[in-house]
Amino acid sequence: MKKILVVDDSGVQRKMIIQIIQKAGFQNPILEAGDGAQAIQTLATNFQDVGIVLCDWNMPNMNGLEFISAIAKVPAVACIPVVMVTTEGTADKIAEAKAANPNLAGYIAKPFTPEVLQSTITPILQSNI
Amino acid sequence: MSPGKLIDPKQLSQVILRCSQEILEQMCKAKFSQDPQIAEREIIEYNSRIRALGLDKFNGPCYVAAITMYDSKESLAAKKPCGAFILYLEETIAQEFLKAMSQGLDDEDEEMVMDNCGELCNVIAGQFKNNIKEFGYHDLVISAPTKGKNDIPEGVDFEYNETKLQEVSFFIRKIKAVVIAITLAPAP
Repeated sequence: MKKILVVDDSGVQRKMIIQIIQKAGFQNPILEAGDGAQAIQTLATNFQDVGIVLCDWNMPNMNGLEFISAIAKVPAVACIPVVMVTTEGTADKIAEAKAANPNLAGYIAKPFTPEVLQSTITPILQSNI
Repeated sequence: MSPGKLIDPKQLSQVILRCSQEILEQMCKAKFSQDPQIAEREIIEYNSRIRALGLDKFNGPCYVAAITMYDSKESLAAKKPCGAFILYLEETIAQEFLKAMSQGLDDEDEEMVMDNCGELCNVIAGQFKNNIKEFGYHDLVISAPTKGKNDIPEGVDFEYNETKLQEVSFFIRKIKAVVIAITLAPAP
């Protein structure tokens, strides 16, 4: 079973996202990272097992845009679907994220409801994991 | 920073009031007991940073989160801020907001309350940056939040030439519950 990587500097947000995923019935193992740099380290040892990345934008050290841009350049992980979960919800920012990572599979603007998160990730998880 | 179009402090306060009230009602299920208060205050600065002392705002402990704003990615890289945004939450209100926002997380400790304060600050600042094109800021960049209990010991970066903060206070059950302070330099 593929793993889900949740990247957010807020521990509360990570827990909430994980809770929503689990309540939706997905039992995939979950990995957590507090910023883009940690997420790259996590992917370095788990890249074959990760089936989706849920990623915040504004984070310290390496932000979400830098992270998704970096992984888009590495063939081994470039194909992993990425969903941004962020306060950066304008059309400009969505376009910027798509340009940074053509494999962007979804975009969720904070604040969001559990239903929005579920409906965005469910088809991705069902088709990829 | 080169001087740009001056920002009307009243207009700035109204934008921040609108954005924050909406988020607090939606995300935190806040019910306000009276109209918010708007005030202009002198920036208290230490070591070129704003002193973010939450104990000044409430008659008791609180949580504080802050975000620094930049007019562009280049300014962020050069560490040249154009403003700062600080959220103060009275302690019991911060705990209630975590319950409302976390939708049933059961392990609520001080670290989580503080973390949630940072997340709320991030969401309000995000909403704010989407609503300030009228001030000439089209691509405002915001930092990740810094957080603290009662204060942010290292202070908050801001545009050093600014001397005033706009402060909006919200009241719940007739006590001051939420204070949002903002300073923003004219857009270049």
